[in-house]
Amino acid sequence: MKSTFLIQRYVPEVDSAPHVERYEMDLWDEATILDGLLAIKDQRDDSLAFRRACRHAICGSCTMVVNGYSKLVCKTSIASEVKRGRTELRITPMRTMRVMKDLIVDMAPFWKHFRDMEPWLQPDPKKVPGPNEEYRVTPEKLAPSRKDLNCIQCAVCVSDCGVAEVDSHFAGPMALAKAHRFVTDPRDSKRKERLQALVDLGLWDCAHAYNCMECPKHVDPALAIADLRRISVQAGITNNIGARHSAVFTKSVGRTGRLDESMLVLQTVGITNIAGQIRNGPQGLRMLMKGKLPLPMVQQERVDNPKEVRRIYEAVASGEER
Amino acid sequence: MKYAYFTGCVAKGTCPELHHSTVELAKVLGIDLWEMTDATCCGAGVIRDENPELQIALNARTFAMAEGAGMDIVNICSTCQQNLGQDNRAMREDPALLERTNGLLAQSGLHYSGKTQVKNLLWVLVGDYGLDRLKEKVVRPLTGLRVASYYGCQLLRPVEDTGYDDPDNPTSFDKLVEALGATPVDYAGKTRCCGFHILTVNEDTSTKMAVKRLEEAAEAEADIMVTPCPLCHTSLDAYQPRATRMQGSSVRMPVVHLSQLVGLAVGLESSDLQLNKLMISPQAALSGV
Repeated sequence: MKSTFLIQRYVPEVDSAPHVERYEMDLWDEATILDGLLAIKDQRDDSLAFRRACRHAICGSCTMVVNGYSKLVCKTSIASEVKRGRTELRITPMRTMRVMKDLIVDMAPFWKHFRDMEPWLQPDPKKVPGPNEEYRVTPEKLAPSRKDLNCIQCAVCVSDCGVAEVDSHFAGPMALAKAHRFVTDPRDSKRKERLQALVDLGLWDCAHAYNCMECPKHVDPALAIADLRRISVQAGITNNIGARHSAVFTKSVGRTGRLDESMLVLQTVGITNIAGQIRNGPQGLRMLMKGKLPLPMVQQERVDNPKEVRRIYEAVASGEER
Repeated sequence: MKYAYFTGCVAKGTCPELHHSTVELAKVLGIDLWEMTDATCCGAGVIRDENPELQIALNARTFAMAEGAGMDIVNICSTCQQNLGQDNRAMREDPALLERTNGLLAQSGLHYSGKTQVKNLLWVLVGDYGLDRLKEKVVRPLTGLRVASYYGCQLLRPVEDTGYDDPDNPTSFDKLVEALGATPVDYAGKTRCCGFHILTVNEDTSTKMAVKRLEEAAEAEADIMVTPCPLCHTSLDAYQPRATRMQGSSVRMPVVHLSQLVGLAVGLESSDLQLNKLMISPQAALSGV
């Protein structure tokens, strides 16, 4: 099978800017993109730099961006890209990290976010059994973290995350899924402390874009983040803007069946937060002038039967109490 | 063609031009819309963050009403599409959850059996209505207009719940743009996030994301962007002056709703489409058509 590789090349110490090099290759039908890169390195240009090791989606080394989307290239066949309608393979390094050479990036910030999660079990010393015994946990009790355990830290999710792309402070999907793994482990004793720390590490900064849902190991970090938020609220960690936004939103829909957007912004910022309200003033005014700002409460849409909606809220709440 | 029309909250709130232009467009195309005035908010993933079962119960109520009326749902918002799609699949794949949820609906005299389909207007136009039929309705071809179709993120993912297009190489929107006589523009950010869902929580990061999308479209020399979602539209249009000022960008890009762009091509006037409600006027970009 003939294929065209367009690979971004860049040696920061030598080149003033990245450039693209084109390689026409003729490979076997089942070849992966990694096979192609290895063939290029072997036959065309041995200076091409990229990371790889296991070749079967275990080590998580060979993540790069293929035609705009991050992939483990050992797990991605050239044929699958052709089937998508791509005639060329445009390969660039991972997003969100500094390029060291060609397709190799500096992953130090990624590992810092990982370490920030204290990714090790911190059990209550009094409950840890003696040296000749296992600290047992049933598969049922570990079910909530089952998917998190599949993570190989390949960074596909982080490289595709739109928030991580512009905000280096955001912990990112991999680290948050790792946090979920320990928060939901019944043997861990630092649950509350972990949850409290997550507020500053970006728990509420995920924008629900779901780019991380195409995880090569099916960890589904976006669902882990949603679950962490639920656990965090249930644990009473509600004095932060994210939890407030979520609570105000849910309450607003419970009142009328529809979201009161104007009220949502007012209350999330905080009615008594005068500085915050003043800061939002010009935007509110701009939208008001365009007829795009319904007055809170007064011009709020309601469903035909808001009572029915309230009944469902109560029924769900009482079901939980039981 | 008849659909249960799920407006969502924003098209009845801060983006009234979206609802208005959708209704006008449906009239021209001969699509019957039964507005679901009793349907609640989809939860937007925010109610799910608080309480997943509550969001599912609210959406089951909506599905049951559409199923009772014998119609599939058309929505005009990517967040509605994603959340309705996810909760619909959750119930289809988990009979115990469906039964439990039906228990909550019983007192309202509602029952959901899992049949309702949920489609964004884009897929109704491309899939059900058909581009050939749409072409026949075009009386004002948008010749020469360079359009950046903004698929955004939530319309396409998770693919198990949407399944109408390839999230890694979507083509439906560009094909529709072509059917209207315009020129689709390929650009880096077309399926990446606009930042809307953290606009209130983390405005700096959110506006950085929006500005990046606008700049990517401008770099590809688009005259205009088009969105299938009022939340993307809010980030990209309503907040554009604030976002570009905050992030020190000089980009200025008109952004229209899907219903407005199609409406223009099928002969609706700018007053029918309420183009005057857009923060960034598209008049200059549209002067050639």
